[in-house]
Amino acid sequence: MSSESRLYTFSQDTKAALRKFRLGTSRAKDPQAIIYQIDKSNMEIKRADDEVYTNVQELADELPDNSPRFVLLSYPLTLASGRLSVPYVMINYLPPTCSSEMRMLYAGAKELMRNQSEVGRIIEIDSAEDLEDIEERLKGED
Amino acid sequence: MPSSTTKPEIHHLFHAPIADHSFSASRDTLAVARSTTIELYARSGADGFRLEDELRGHDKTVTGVDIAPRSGRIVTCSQDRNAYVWEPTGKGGAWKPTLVLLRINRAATCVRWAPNETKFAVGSGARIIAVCYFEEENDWWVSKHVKKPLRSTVTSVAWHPNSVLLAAGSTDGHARVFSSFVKGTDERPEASVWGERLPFNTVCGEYLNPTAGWIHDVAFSPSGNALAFCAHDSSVTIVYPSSADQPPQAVLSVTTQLLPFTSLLWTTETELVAAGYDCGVYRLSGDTNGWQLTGSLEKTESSSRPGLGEQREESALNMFRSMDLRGQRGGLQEDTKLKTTHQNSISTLRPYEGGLGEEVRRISTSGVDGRVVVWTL
Repeated sequence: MSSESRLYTFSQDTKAALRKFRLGTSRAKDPQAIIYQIDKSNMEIKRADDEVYTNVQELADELPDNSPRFVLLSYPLTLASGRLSVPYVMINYLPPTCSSEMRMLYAGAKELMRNQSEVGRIIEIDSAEDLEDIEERLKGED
Repeated sequence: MPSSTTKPEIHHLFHAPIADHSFSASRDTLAVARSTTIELYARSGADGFRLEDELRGHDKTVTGVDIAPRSGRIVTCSQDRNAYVWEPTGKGGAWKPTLVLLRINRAATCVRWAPNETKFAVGSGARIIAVCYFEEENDWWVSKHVKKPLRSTVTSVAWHPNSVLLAAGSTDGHARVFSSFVKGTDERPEASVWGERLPFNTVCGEYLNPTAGWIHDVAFSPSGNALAFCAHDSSVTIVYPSSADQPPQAVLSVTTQLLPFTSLLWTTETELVAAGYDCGVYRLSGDTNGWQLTGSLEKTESSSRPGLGEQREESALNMFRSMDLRGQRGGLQEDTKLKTTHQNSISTLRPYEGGLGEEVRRISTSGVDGRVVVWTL
């Protein structure tokens, strides 16, 4: 783990934003998602854009076809038992058309990202369509 | 149609089948697929070719080669389920291969560059056509799959002049036209008889060969407004579509008594040449009202036999000698050689002079006998 932190970096702003996002989204009524990418030139993990997505469809449209991305998602659920739960998960988006170089880049940073963002668990998806049944997956695994 | 009076240029390269061949834009370099390597020949002397380079990289038989006319890049595909893009590196002669992951689990059967040279299509036995384009952001060739409704091996692919529409012939008896529009790489094509809004994997036309014979080759006409395909039932079918949702204007079939054709090519809007298991090249011509076989490019027997000096004289000595040694009646050597220029079936037909909007005046063929022949039409 420590070897990865020497390779990939987080800026202070990113770390603060991650903390704020984790703490601030548990009370939201709709899904909140932020896309993170790794900058190849300086190996920095940072936000892909400045938007917080509240719609799963929009999120699916924003994901690129041929590059991996990390998505931090907070999704309010009403479980079968009636309980309200807002799981905070990381989505590891890895399309099959991306190059091996990109795959290894994101695979190396996965655990570091998990620890830094303090998510509950990681969900692997390989196409934007898989996002559509994210709700079932979250419910099913609880 | 008179057969050609100019002799064809014959290059007997080696004694092994040639799966596919391609000439560079200047016609000075010839790439030939030979087993697991691609041999590059350069023109030497008046009309010979000399082996210059060998591209090694594939593990299994190479099934397709194509040289892009403007950029000079070579794309090859093989039964090892991979494709390589070979880039020329200056005058040193070395070629730099880039592996393209096609993500197919069966052999690749054919490959062709799109006219704009930014994409290429690979047909495969996995019932998939892999359309590959270069993504700058990742410095990597990405392959997108055209899957539905292919139900069997894709035997041949052909591009429309607009570099978006792709025709494919398959062993499920259908010739289909797909849209391979890639957002970001392609510009929106103009509306054509094949359709207007065309997202990736749209089927613009699907034509069944009535006997469900395997389709060996497909080709768009020079304008792109007609499609021809040849099938294993010895027929050539030409389709003239009318518009996207309408039935075609005309679907014309020519059935020949010859052996099936494996390859065909449009020379003008109203003429085709085709070649196949009969080891010869044939012409067809017609339009929306009908098509017919018009002749062969080979010099016919009757015109070549009298006194051209190519046959040996049939002397009584030779006749009895051959009867004694080989049990053959007749002293002529004809029983061991075919009368056609190619001595085995022809597998590929390519334009040599012309094409890309101009009338094709010369064509090149390669076959199982290891010969590459350039014909003048």
